[in-house]
Amino acid sequence: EEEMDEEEKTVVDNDDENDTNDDRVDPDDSDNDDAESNDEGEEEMDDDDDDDKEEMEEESEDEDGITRSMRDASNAGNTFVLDSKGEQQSPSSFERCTFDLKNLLSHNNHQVDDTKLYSSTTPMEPEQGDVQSSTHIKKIPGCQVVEEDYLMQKSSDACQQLIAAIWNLPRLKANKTGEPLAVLPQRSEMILPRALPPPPPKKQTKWEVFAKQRGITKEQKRSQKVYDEATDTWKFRHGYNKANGSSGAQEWPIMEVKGGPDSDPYADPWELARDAKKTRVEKNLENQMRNQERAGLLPKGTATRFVKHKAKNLEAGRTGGNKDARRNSSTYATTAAPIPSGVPIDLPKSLDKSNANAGANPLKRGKELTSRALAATQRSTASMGKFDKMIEGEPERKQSVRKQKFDSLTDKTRSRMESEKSMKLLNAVMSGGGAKAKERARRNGSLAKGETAYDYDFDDGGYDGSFKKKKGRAAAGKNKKLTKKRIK
Amino acid sequence: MAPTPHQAKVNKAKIMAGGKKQPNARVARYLKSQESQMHEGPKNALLMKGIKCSGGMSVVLKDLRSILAPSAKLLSKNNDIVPFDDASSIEFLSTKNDCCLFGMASHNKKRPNNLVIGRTFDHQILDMAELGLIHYKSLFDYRGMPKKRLGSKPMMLFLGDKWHLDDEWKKLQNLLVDFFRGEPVEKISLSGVDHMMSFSVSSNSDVCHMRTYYVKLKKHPNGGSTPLPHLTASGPDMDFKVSYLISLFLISLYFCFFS
Repeated sequence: EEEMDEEEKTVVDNDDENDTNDDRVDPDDSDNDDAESNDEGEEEMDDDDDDDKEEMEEESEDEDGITRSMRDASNAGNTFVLDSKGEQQSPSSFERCTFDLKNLLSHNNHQVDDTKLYSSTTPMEPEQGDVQSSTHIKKIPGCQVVEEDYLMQKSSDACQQLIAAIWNLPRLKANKTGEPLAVLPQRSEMILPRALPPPPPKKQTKWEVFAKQRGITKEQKRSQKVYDEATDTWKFRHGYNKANGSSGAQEWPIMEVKGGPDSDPYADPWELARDAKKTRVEKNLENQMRNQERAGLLPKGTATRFVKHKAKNLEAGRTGGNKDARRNSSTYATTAAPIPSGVPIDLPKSLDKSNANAGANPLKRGKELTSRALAATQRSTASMGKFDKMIEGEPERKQSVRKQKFDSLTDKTRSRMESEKSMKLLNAVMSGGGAKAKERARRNGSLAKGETAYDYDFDDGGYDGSFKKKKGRAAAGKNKKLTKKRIK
Repeated sequence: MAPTPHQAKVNKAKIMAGGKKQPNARVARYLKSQESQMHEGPKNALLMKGIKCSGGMSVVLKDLRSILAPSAKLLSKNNDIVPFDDASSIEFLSTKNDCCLFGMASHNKKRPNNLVIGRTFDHQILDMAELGLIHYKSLFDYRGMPKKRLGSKPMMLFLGDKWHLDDEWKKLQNLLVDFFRGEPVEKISLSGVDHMMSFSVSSNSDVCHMRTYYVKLKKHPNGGSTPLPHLTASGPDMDFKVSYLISLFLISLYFCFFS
């Protein structure tokens, strides 16, 4: 059995010829500098596999009545050793390996024979007739030299057993390219960790909980296309260029006034439609956000903040925005638009458009703004209200413009104070704004106590050894030695 | 560049509020693929240089990238990182590059030809092993020889009884398998097994010999459908000693999930 028939010998020889074909690596390839290119050969269609495939279709008996499966079983028991020429050697003392097929792993748990692995007879071989090796990691002298053939033999043994085990695995029908697939075991013997923790189970949305409780399932699927009456074509239900117009009701040229107690024939139906759609979209978005909050994917309170923000923007858009908003924000609620102060205007009855509430809650200026409006009126004359007559009950007029006070030029004490004042100012600037500014900065958290912006050196990336001579264009005029003469 | 979990949450809130939109659908798809999933694909490896790296060690990294491609990323700059002192930089890099495995090569007088390989869980260091290379033969030295295909799964062999007797070597074995095994699959194409990696340790010494062979399946001379593999030396060969090993995985085995 160990001898090869002449027929099979030729088959094996053919394989050797195939080995020299240029599918894999071209030794004259100029890309040899990059080791990577050696690996990325084209996909090679192995002649062997075609033969294998044909053979697997039949289970024919041999002359001696031995089927292929029997041969496989016997082959699994014996190991063949082929040396580098492809010729067969006598089988070695055989060590059975254990496998972890999920990882294509084989363990040879037998002791390694040191006498065979490390042979002191083989000298440190110099690289003969070879181009200088690329690696600078040479064998450390004194380190034992490994018998490469021994390792190759052991690996061959294990490989044979592993291949036999893989070939015995259950098979799947050939995949798209026609190659047979072996089904690996589900679990691996060796426990290996994941890269990331598994994703948390998805939390159900409010609707999903309700639907499950009530047993509501989705009805039959909606059709992808809908008949569009405007263009008399079948268009998609959703997406780009969808049926019934991209903006829906807003695109209709004519809109009927619906009869009824609420209908207002003078209202703008397109504006109403637009507003209605906007509210629907925002409500949907809000609900999505609340579901995400419940699931823990969004920080709590995002949805409410979102709603408030949208409402505020809506009001600001409606009333044209308000420059006094910041000044008045403490007194007035965010929903009602702040009223401009100091300017007498006709206040609208109410911002609510529905007729029912028109007279009920008219907008009022309030005490603060009335007094401010009065103060503004008092000084709105050419002389800033200085020479105007006061009416009975009128509050005192505050002088909004202060006179500038100048220090005496001749008084000695005053002139000393001037220098002190200047020094005080300078010190305040140098110390980062003075005591008050420091306190303010400390309170709002931008500086720790006792610190100022001037307390830290600016880090421009330079250190003691970081001086670099400039070269080329950048060096123009900068490379001269700095002498006393030049400093002047 | 993947965002940290906090950044991801903030971005999501912004998008939900209708403000900032994802610039690209492709980017959104990529970020989604980098989130945790039930079934994981191949682990990505991040290869980088340490404080100082020699030419030989650079070749080692290049070869590692060739073997592990396409799931490997090779960074070109030197990094001021000492892994066993402070691994937080490595954790940050693994977050940003979406890599679970890492390899750091360095060379100095005290620790010549040093290669630190390790893996993370949830972007936190799980295992780290410092290998001192004694002998290395690169892909360049085997030029002209047939080599494995891009992305193919290796067959592996662990030779020697130390691998299952000694605790340190057990931990190292786990790490090496995780590093080199590629994509965890349920079925393989029978023509796709084309290379073998063997790691051998003898009982007396503490040197591990890694060898890679290209496998060509030939007809069995006895007949039968099981082919006979024919091994040729290809690919990188490495002899190394383990100078330091941290393994949190086997300690926390009950708290990790099976892959």
